[in-house]
Amino acid sequence: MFTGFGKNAKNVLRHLYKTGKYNIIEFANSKTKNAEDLKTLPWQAFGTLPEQGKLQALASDQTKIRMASYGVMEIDELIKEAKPDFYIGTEDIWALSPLVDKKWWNDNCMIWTTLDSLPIFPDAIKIIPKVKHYYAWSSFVEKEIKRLGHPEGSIRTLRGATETSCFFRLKDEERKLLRKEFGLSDEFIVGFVFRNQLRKSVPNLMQGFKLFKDKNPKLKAKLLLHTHWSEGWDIQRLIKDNGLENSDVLTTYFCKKCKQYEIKSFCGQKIACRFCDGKDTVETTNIHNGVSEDQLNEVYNLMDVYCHPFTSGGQEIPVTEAKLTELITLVTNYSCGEDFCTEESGGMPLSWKPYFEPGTNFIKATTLPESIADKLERVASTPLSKRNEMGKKARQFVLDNLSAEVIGKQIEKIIDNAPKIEWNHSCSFEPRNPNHQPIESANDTDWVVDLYKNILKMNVDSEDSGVKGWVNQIKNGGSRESVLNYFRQTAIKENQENTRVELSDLLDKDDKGRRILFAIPQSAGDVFLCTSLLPSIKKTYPNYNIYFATKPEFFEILDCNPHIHKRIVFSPFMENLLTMEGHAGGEGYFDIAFLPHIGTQKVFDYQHNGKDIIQFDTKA
Amino acid sequence: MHILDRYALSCGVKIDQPFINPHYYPVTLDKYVVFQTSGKGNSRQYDYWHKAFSFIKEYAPDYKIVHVGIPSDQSVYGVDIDLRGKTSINHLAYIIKNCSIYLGVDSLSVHLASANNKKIVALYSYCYAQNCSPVWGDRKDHTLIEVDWEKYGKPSFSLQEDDKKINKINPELIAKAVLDQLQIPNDLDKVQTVHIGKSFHNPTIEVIPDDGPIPVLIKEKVCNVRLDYLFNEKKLLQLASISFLNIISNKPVDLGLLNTIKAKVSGMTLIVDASFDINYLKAVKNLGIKLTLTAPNNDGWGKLAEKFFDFGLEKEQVATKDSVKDSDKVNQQWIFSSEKIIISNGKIFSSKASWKNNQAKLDKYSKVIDCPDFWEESEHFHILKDERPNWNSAKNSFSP
Repeated sequence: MFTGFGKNAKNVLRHLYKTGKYNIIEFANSKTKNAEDLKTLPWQAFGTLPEQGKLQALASDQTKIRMASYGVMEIDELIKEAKPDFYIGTEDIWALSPLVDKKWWNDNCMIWTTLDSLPIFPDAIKIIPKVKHYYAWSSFVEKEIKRLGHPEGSIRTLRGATETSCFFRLKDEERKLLRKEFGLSDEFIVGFVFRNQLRKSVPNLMQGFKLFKDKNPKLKAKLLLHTHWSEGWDIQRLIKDNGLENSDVLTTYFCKKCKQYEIKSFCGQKIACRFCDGKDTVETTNIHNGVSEDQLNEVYNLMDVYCHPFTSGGQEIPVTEAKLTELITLVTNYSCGEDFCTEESGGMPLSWKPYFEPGTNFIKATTLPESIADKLERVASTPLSKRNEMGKKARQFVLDNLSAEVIGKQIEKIIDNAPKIEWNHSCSFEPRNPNHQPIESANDTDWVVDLYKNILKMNVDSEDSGVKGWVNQIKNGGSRESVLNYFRQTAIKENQENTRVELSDLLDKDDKGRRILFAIPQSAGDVFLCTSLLPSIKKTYPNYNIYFATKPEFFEILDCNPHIHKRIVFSPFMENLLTMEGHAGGEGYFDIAFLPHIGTQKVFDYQHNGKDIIQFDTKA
Repeated sequence: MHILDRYALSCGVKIDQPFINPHYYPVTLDKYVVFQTSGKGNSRQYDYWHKAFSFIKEYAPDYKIVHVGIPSDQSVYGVDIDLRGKTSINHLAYIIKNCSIYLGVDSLSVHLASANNKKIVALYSYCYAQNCSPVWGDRKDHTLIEVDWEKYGKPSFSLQEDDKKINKINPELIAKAVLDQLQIPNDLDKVQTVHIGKSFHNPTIEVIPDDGPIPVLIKEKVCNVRLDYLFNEKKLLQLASISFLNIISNKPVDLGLLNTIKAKVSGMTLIVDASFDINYLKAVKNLGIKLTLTAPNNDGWGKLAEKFFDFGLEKEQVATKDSVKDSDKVNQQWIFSSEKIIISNGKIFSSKASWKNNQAKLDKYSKVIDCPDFWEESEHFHILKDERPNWNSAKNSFSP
């Protein structure tokens, strides 16, 4: 059984499926439980997201929605039903680490995750004793764990699987034609394929490229940034600030209408397409409208060298794709980059300096522009034959170490060697604590993290999008009080059956000893039917006040009902008869609590195939 | 035990008259049927109400159907006045108080009708009628239609059912119950549904890409173009100038042609085998065309699903004569209607079999053609045995 991490999961699952040895059940992130597109997979697959109704209840909390998309709400149920012999969780560590405390977690459960910065995330280390099969995507983690004194094998290296068939070096003739198509000829093209996020060191690359260009004015160097220009770094400004010309930097434009792409300098967004009649259909490539794998292969084949400076990362897929197209790859020598910048991998290391990331204090790398310029110069001055030789080495490195077949075989070995195991399926609910008092002197971030941890019992950190969302809300004028109130209400709702709510405010002060509760939470039909019992109740208990509890949407059925003293909103805690009527030291709220729905809506106890006969006359 | 008996026993009290405070709502009709569907889950959503209405209106055209409930309740073709979401519960009480009859599923309305001594025809499909039937009023005024539990198994007691039991109730039975309660003479006892396909209620237009004229009725509609029936891809150009196309083919269609008409192609279904080239499929996808792949559900499906992994492969299900119960008893009185039509050479056909036999559609109902092509499409048909002496007039009656 598998969870998460898109491309990797797909590649490995296809490999495992083809072996014919396994019955696979995929738990696919961010899909609804019975999503239609999952039904076309050759193996069984379920989405991690619960049905719409449950999701709507989370609408105002991004953290909970994100956790739900990672399967937190459904995983226990799926495990219970699937009874897997082997479980593989491949996704962010913060989404996996809480699973090791589940009652079903056992020695046939595997974590295969990305850890990208030093110091290693504390929760990732804390769970080591509980995880028998613990793998990280880069050797950097294994080395660090060893350095910290953990036994060998605590966390091993198992790289993410790459589909190798889509990316390859085109023939020289084809490459020339491709360049011609975009008005290019003998330029020296430095490429970078990336999602425009802050962890991609675009300013450093710009500086390094400028240094390189200044030193090599005759080289006709161009920088090809295959990314979206309307998110993340302001690339136009970086071009200007670094004294580059707009024409020095190329990018990929894509038409969402005709699906054609074009390489040229940036000239705005939502522009006309030269291939079709689209008037505003062309934008820089992005996650919504982007090139196909075949087209991306062509983009790589326009490059002379691939340069990937970044602050840290789990496994940079473009680096492996570039290697498959036989490009020399210049990669920051930190985090997963350590595996991809070695000579045997057909790469070159980019030097860096550390800095501490604000908030998390993780060590991140800032790649030195001088090193970028130096390595670009080294590649440019390398004879073509030698460059080609290094490129072939780069491709072979990926085929030998990251191909779906190689990684798939390693997974096979792990699964096949696992012992037969009995699952324990019980899953428990940790009661929420709506009464927790946060420390008011804490800064906003710590204060919100505290609410998650101690009220909702959720393990989050300052980087969590939900935390950031609440902090922003406070910074934009929202009060801490309203945030705290939201968390408390959510906790109460989630506790429902375990939490007693004070009723006394809803009750009259002068009818103690004369109160009847009639509770029927739903539905409209049942509420209406039950109004026929009220005359008899009133006749039997003439001096008592009837408090009728139901959902507010059914209150109108009770309008002007002469037998009802008060309508009150139904809560599940009212189902505790002893609490309602009192027991031991508790005085209770009502003298008589009628809970007729217990034997109908709560627990079926009346159907009897429609054949039972009542020996009493129930009609008045 | 009735649910209200259970409530009464739980409280140790007797059942009296219920209470609700009706609020005036302006309904100016003399004779009307209050009709309620359900929006909670699918188990109370009956797909053939329009067929029942069709029969009712044959015999009782002066009765109007007033649909009540909440906006999310199931929509039904053929109602006269739709008040869903426009009334409060108290308004509803008033509307029901003045109606001729209640028709619908187990709901608040059935109990309101019962409390007002109204005639009732109610469907019970996910629970026993005995557990939640109308409590008040004269039992003779109530017709409670249950699923045949012996035949289809016991009720699910669930709001959601994979194979809805409610659809096992035949529409002519419902119509007859309403007419009988209203004391309107009818001979619907001579009509019997034999089969209703699961896709019957989905209107579909299919076009054979032959060289005949194209009826105006397909203008701006989505049509299935059956290249798998007749591979004449040149016709696509003409069809695309009139309609939106959902192309169904078992051979690759020229990419240049697809590129020309892609703005009018709402989807393409390819019935694939191992000979289909992945690069061709990628090219179709790159044109921005929504592509669906399907292959027969046999031993080779898994291998094909792996080959076409990146596109997703669906299992093709083909119905046969055996899929329709009692189909061995087919005779001249078996007729069918379909919401699916096939257009070829300027004529309209009610089934693939009619098209192959060149029997153009002349009426709402056509005679069953006992051949594999007919049964293959049976999921789109309502097949019935009509022994009424004047059934031809029924054919011309109201139908959506």
